[in-house]
Amino acid sequence: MRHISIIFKRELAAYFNNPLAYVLIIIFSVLSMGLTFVIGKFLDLNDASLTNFFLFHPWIYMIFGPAIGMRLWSEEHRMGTTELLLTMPISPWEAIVGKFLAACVVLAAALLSTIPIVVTVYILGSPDGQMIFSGYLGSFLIGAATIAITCAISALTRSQISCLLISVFICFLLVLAGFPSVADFLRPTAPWLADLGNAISLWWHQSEMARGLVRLQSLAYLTTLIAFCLYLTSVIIRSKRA
Amino acid sequence: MSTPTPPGDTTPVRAKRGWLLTSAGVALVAGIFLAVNWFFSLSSANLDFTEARVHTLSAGTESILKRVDTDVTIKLYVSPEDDLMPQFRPVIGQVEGWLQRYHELKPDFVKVQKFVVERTSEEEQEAGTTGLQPQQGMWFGIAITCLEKTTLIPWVPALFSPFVDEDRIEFGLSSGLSEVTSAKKKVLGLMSPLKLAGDAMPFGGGGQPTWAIYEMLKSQYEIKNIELTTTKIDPTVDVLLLLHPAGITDEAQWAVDQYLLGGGHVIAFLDPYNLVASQSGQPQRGMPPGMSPGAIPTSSNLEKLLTAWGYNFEGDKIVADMGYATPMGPNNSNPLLLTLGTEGIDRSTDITKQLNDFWFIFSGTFTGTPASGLTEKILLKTSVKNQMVETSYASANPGSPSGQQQMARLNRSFRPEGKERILAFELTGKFKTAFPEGKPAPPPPAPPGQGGGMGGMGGLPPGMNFGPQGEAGEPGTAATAPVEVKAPEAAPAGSPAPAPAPAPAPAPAPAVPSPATPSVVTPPVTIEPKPADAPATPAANPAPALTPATATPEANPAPALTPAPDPALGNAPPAPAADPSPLLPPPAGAAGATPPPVAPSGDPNAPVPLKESTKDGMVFLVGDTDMLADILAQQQILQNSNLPFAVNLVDQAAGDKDLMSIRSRGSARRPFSTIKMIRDEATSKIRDQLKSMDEEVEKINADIASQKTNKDRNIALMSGWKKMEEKSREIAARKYQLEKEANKEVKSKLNFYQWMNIILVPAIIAGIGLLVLIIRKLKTSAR
Repeated sequence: MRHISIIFKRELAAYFNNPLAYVLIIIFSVLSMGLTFVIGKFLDLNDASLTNFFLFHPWIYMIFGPAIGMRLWSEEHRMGTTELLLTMPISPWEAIVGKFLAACVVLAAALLSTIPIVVTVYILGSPDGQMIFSGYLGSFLIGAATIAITCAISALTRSQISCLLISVFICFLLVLAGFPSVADFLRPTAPWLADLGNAISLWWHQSEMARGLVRLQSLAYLTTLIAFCLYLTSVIIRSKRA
Repeated sequence: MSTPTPPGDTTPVRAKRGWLLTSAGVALVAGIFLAVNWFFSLSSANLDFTEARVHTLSAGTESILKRVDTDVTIKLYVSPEDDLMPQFRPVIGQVEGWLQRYHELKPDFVKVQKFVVERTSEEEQEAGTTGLQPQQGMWFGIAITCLEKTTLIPWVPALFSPFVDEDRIEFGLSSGLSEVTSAKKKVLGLMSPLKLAGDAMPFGGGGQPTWAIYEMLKSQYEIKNIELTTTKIDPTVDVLLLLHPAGITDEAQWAVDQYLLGGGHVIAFLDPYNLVASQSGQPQRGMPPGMSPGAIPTSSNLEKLLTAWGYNFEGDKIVADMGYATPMGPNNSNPLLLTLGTEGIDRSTDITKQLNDFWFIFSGTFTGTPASGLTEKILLKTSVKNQMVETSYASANPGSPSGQQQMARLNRSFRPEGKERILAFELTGKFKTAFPEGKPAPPPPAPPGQGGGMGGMGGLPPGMNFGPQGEAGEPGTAATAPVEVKAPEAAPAGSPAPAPAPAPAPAPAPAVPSPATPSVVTPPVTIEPKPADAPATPAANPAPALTPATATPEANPAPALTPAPDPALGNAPPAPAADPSPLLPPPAGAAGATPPPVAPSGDPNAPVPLKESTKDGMVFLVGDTDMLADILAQQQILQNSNLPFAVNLVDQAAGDKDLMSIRSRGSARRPFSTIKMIRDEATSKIRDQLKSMDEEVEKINADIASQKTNKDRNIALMSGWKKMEEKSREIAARKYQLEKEANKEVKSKLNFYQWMNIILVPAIIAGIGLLVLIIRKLKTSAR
């Protein structure tokens, strides 16, 4: 646990001691608010729930997650510090979890930057607080899932750009799979594929949680997806070390 | 060229084995990942993170399911997904999830079956046998069966969002379940002159469809129609519902009084101006000429009862509420059509706890305090920005120029009273009789051959004829409603020219109708015509029997029924009935002896009139009936809380709270109440300026009218016309400017919220980031 904490602090410092984290959080904040207010016409909807706000998040995470996670291992590979890190008396798991948690803190900070919209809906109406919590929970889990996917990809390559592109592509597929228009397109020809698309789609799970329905299926999918991606990362790191 | 492996070196083998183990490990973990997700995808278990628990079976459903002790089969009939429209396909999964939850709560008794209905298949035949019908070739219905009883949900998607505000599938399933498992329905007594059950004519003659509220109540209760002239309410009636009881006789009020004192529960929807009634005199499509029924009075009251309970219902005034005015366009809202905000709804009772959207149309309000022994609970109220106005405003069509003018005038002359008014409330406790002198005398019988005008109007007293035309707006214009409502039609050909548009202020009523606009008056009832009313259609019997005494020039737009005290017409006030009051001294010869209680009828076996509640009674009073009329709100009515509210009242009165708790989840919309306040504030700022402009126009009008001779008037008219034109242009430009400024103010406030959200946090984060980097730079450069 102590090792995880050391790695976590080191990674967190690496994020916040250079402009990367700040730039990413600013981009996330501007994008999520801009999409909600300008594209989604939030104030014209006359609905004091944040459902529409949360529905933009999977699209943003499609880029934001990989942007946070791309440096987790690619940077170590490029600098040649992976070997050094793994020769220290810490297990690959501890390094992976420490790094992943640090990236999640950046994600949490980005989500925290959207608090003004919560204040706004409380000023303008009387929203359902629990539903907002559920939306944030879903948003955080989906963001964490995109980081975990990127973490596994970054373990494969030393190029951060390659990692970013591959991760964005995978996340894009996972978001799109359950998008209503895609599901409607698939359903007539392959209904099972449409159902599968829903089950693996980050967008579908987010849409359910944004309306206050946290399915055990969603929790199971997102947590196991994160765990599986972190496991893959450890396999890749071990195999590289071997 | 490959390097030969030294003998005894096992590295490649170990590496190969390592790879194999790793691959096996990854495959195993991937398998576990898939298995776990497959397992959870089968489960409908979830955590409901909504305050109203809209995704969880409610306590009401649990209670209904607890009572189920016989096999109930819920059959879902649905077309193959390919045959369904794409938007209906996701609903299948949702409804299956709900059905699963019902089964899980009572697995031994509630069986769920799904049938995919292919065309020309056995399933299609079976679905048809249950009574289900395909909608546009698509099957998607539910049949709930228990023993011999079956209830249907004909079209499931109609219960799901986004087709309605919130999913209503639970209510549909639970009410169906309750219906098939209940042994006997409770009895609902219905007193109303309105044709709630519809009046479809034979041979495809058209007519009105059944009201949605009637259908809803009918599915739960056995409805027993009771005349508005009744003298007794059957004690088997569990709840008595009065909907716009216009023309209710004193005897019928007495019957309601006695029913209530006997422990009955009464719900009354009154109305100062009932739009449906206002159109009731119109000839109906498919009806042969001359067979059009008479009109129903537009105003209803229970004056005697209300007075005894300590209240007054202003039957000739409607409430205008700027706080809850319904938006009719970007810069236009109608304060006579109320959309209640959350502050106007009491949240402490199950009836309204989770209802949000209430629409009131030309509503009245109640004033007063409860009589001793009674407790009041206000359910719905106006905002403080309200004012009672004449009902003549109700007949204007906001779409017409004069209607807009009238509404603008109302907006400008509006002076809020600064106190909330009661729209709906509950009274409970020990009621005292409203008829301390006993049963009132029956109205005198109508002379033969007269008073048949209301023949066929269910529930109206015989002899009452209100003429073929009730309230009318401008000829050819539509009545005011949030959605389009067919207005009283223009006067028929050959009728007198229509009256000019309603005057700015309610004009006094003509004391005597002009011969050109005869009204049907059949003794013993007289009609008090509405001021500034449209001309009544010519009638067959233009007897000028309006008594000047009743047709006062007072602005009293509601066509009140006033029995004319003219013995010559045979409608003198009835003599008191023979000893109707037990308060009178006992007959001579009975002194000293306690006479047995005798009913007013003199029949010793008749029940003695009650003076006070034998057990706690319950009364609900609502100041509007149009709120329940689906012809006014058309499809929209299913999406507001009006109907759930009405049925909740009945359920509460009938003691059936299970369904009420489910229905109350109906609409969980949470609108931005503050944005509406911002808009109201901006509008109120320009109201005074608009008023002064209006006064300028009126001054020019008054100048013209003040000329004594026709010639002077014509000259003044010509010069005034020009002035008016110029003034109108000037005012229109200024009004446009003012409204533009008001809009700008609203927009700037909303923009503030928008840009604070978009810019504030990024700016703060950028500042923090810069600060951290500068500090870091300073620290490192110092080293």
